[in-house]
Amino acid sequence: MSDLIVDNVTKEYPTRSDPLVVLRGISFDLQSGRNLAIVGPSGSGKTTLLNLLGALESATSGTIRLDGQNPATLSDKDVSVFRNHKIGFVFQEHHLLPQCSVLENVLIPTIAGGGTKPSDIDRARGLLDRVGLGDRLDHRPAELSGGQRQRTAIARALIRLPVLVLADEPTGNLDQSTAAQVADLLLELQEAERNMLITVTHSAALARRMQRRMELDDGRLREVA
Amino acid sequence: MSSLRLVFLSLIHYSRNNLAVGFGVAVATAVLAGALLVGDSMRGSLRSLTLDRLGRIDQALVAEGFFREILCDQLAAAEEFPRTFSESAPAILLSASIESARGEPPLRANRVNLIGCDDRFSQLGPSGPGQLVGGSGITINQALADALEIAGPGQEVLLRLPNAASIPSDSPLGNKEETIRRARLTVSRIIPNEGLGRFGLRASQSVPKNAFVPLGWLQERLEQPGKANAILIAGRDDSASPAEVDALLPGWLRPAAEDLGLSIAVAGEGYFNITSQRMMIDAAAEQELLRAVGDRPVQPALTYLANAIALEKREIPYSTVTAIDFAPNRPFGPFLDPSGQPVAPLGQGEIALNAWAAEDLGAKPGDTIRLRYFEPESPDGQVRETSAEFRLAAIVKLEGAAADPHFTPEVRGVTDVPSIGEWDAPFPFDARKIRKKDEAYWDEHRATPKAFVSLATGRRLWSSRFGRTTNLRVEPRGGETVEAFAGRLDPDPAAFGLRFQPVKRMGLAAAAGTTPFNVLFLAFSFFVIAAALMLVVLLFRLGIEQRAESIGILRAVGLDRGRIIRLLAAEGLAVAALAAAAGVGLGLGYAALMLAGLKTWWLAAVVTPFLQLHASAASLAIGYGCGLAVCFGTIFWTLWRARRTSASRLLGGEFADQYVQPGRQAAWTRWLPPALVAAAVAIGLSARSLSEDARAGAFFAAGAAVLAAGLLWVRRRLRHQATGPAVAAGRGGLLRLALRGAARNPARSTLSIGLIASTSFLIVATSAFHLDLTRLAPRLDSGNGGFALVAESDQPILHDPNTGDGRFALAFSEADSRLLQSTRSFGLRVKSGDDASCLNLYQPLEPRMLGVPEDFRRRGGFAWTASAARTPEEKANPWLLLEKPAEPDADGTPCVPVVLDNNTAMYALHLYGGVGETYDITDDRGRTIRLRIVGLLKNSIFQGDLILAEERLLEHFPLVSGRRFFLIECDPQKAGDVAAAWNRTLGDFGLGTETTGERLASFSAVQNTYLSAFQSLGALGLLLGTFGLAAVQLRNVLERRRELALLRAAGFRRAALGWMVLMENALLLAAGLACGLLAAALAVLPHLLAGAAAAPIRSLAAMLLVILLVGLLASLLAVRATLRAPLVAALRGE
Repeated sequence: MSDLIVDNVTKEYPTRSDPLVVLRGISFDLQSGRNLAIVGPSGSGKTTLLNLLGALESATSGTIRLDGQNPATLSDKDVSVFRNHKIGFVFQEHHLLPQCSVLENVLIPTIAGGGTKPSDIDRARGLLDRVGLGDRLDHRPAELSGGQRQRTAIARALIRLPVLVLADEPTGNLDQSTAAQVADLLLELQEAERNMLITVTHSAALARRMQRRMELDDGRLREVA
Repeated sequence: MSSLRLVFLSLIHYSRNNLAVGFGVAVATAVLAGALLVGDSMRGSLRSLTLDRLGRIDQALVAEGFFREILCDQLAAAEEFPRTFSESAPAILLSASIESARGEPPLRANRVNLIGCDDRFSQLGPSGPGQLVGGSGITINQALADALEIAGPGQEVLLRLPNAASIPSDSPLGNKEETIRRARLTVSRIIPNEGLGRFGLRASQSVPKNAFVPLGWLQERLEQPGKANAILIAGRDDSASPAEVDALLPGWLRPAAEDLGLSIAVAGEGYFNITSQRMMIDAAAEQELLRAVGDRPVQPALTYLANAIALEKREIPYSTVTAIDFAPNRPFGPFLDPSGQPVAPLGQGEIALNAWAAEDLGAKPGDTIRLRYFEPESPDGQVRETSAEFRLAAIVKLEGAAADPHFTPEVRGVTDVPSIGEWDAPFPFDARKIRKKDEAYWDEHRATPKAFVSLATGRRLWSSRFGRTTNLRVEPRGGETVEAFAGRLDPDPAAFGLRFQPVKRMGLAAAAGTTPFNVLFLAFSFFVIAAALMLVVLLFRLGIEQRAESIGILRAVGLDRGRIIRLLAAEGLAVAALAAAAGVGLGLGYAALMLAGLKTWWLAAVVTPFLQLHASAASLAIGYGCGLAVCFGTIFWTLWRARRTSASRLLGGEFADQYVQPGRQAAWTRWLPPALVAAAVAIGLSARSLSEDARAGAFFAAGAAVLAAGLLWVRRRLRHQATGPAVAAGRGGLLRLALRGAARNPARSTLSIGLIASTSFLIVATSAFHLDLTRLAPRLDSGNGGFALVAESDQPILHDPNTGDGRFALAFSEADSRLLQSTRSFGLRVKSGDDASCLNLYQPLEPRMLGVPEDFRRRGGFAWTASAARTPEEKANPWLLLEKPAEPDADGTPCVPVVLDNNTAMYALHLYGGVGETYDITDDRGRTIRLRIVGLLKNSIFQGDLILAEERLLEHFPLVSGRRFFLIECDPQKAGDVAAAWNRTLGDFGLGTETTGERLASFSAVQNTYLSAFQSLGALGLLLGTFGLAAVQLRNVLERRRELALLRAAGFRRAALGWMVLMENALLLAAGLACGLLAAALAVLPHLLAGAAAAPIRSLAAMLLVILLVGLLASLLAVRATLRAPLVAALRGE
């Protein structure tokens, strides 16, 4: 059985006239250890789909089941726990907390899990070593380059051992060389952690490196070669 | 990593924003704590004044009459005395007037506390008069020196003080002419207005005018050697003694009969004769004496002066008649007829003559005997003769019980002179009528009564408010001496007016004050607090909006809403806790500023600059707690409102209400504004027929309706984005863009305009309630009741200035008398008491009472807030309600009808129930009298007084004689001349006049000053609010940074964008002020045109101009943010 099942998901937004339909009958599934790229033109609903998968928003209709759980049936509190335990986010903009150090930024999700344990700190250090920031633990985001910030964000996404990592244009703000390094890192870590990775991207280079590719166009998703 | 660390890091990282939020919290806390400290300072200062003016004086006894000063020594000699008290001092306390000998007309100070004392007085506290020099020296305090413009010792003054008369002036035997004594003295020392220098037993923050003379000198002047009328007792320290000790002093007080104004002697057939120095034994004293006498047989008698005992044309002049029920046995009888048989008690309408009188008249039983006598009360100095006829029932032999001169109490100048011809009679006395045989009778029998009537008949004819008995005849127990009887007779001294009062405890209780200044200043500071809280909301929200992305990531990584709210709340709490602590410190400064205001700009509210800063730990803690709670509550509310914003929008840096789509609006928004305007017009038109206050209220309501209409109209326009095209041909493009920018967020803009408009409306429209009553012409249905002048005197005036005889008796000159013929005055009885007007900040414990005479009640007039009137007559003239009988309360206590000013009822006595509410007072004997409000006057000259029918006042306070409060009807053009005539002639009585306008203005000055304080602090709040407006603008700029960057990318210069942002802010500010001022003008203008209001237009205009300028300056913050925004980063959304 698949670890992520998306079944006939639709998303609409109310407007003054007719509702704006962003996603229409989206269905797909994904197993642990697999990765998927979602491509499509601007405004096709890629980020909206990612927000639905990440339980940041809820679908107008259809169901999403991750690791056997449908977050739409959970309370706000339980959705937060669900996100904290099962999902890791990497955004185009890193969204690091400017007041916290690199290590602290990576550990932020552990606060939601009831507090930071020594094992969390060890794992954070390990992750930061693996993303090449072992010597920048105490630096603030403002003291890092764009690539370093994004690598910190990747480490943060993985700190709670998520079953699904969602990356929204993870290389969108990076130069070519840095983008390639970040893509390598994402795939390496996904391979090592054996979780699912879904990335939304405009980058054909990044999409090509993913095991599956799907295209979102006019709200509809289809598998592409 | 922990939540606490995250909070700590955020506090540091966002310190600038937190400082701004903290500023708002500190201001709100400072104002809250400051207002509480103003209350503390008021209470503390009143308390300090009480302790200062009383020194160590803890208890005081002030009697109506004089007693031996040795009583004071006897008290101090009590074995237990030193355990609780330290010193005692006798004194004579009088109200006097003092005139400076220099100047023309001479300066006169009325209501001077004349204190006759010796060295013992100065032991009672600091800064006393010290050793007083005998002779012609007088020590005065600085307040009196200032009033008389006396720079130093050596200046002569003329002292006028009341005569110490035993018999009430309102009785026929009372002295009506020589009621004032005068003495020329030299000021020997001026002492400061502190400590005993400002001694006074009445609680008032005003500095009393005190004069100190040696006790011995004053005793001599008053012909009361060795006597005093007050005993002052000092406690062991400055604090007030507990209530338990109140019973101690009365227990140690051992007054002799003469201290109680009594005389006890063996008389007649061996009975003990109790008589009063006042001639009549008053009802309370009689009751107490009867109780004290116990089971001994007692026979009351009433002896009265008959001007004539007549049978047809024959008459005996100036004889005494005794009302008594004949007793058959000794010692009270028997009264024997010529045959030696006891005469039976007389019936109604019967009289008995003694043999001398019967012979003189040639009367025989059955004849009709006419008695001519003066009515027992002589108001306005007029003794009125009346007569009664009796049937001669018996003739009694002039021997035994009937030959008893002790039936007639001692009357100085009458019973103690050798012949009738030498009587120093205070009533019209025709010595020519005295015959030789009368003098012979006097020589042999003195004032032995020549006639007798029954006790019931005598009391019916001659009892009065002064009593119904002149003699209590007590049968001695076997062998009992009069000394032993007097020693055993132990009546309660309180029944004779010898009553200690815990003056310090009462003073400290009164120091709680009438006006809760903490609440008052909290109310005055409402706008400052509101503005500060608005700042907290806006700045805190601005802060979290700037952190929207950070909050979004916290949501994205799994922190639930509750956790995030708790994290941000913890941060807010830390900011609020620290800032509130700073705010408490600032609160001390704010309180000091308010006190400085009360000592200068708002002095009229407290009359005298006595306030000092007092701060209690409780107020500081409450201020801190309230400041923290209110601010944290505000922060939490802000967070709660933002909780629904989705994580995805937060990640995009958005909050829920950032952009509101113009949409369809409810139909009510279209019809309500014109409906409100129509309502305002209707209210305005109907207000023409309303009373003054109601009209002000109506115009206020009309203004508020116009304000609401204006704001709804603006809101509708903004929501429709009906602000004109953003781009159009011609100049003014930037203004058009600014206008569109101001309409970008209609809710926020309407709120900003609304806050400014409503605040400026309230500040300006309250001007309608500023009253200028100095210009109010005398009008029957107004607060002045149609009177032009008010006069008050220190000493009672016993003659009626309305009659030619009265004016002659009062020594008005012929010219003044002619002038006064065209005037009419109403003299009111005065029972002295605390000033319960708004001019006294102490809680009045015994308010002054006025007794209004019947002709005043029939005249009617004055403006009424409410009354218990039911009949058309009562509704037309609610004064008639004072004549209604005292109806019993639920517990059966009779309630005496009383009228008082509404302000006094509400603010001084806190009788919030209004008409029907009861209020208990204590009479001179310590008995409770329950008053029931039957009418409330509006903005009247009677503020501070309880008004009863004259008869009721005299019933409960029989010793009140003469009149001391006068209302004068006269042509306002002649008021100056009339006042001068009164002042000139009645200066001896310590009389002073003022116009009713001046009197009302002194009361309304307090209200006007409170309004000014409200307006000033409101303006301060509005000023602070303009910073809030700038914060709103800053939020707008930050939200629109991409748009502004785009404009710059399109070629707009930074300065142009700065101007645009400045104009947006100016438009909101101007729209708010315009709406508020337009509505306020509608509220105030009709009132101003009517001449009743006195709006401080200049100061208001200056305030609003400052607000406009500061508002524009504050908006430069937003302009600065606009100018500093990086172009590329903004375009990229970073």
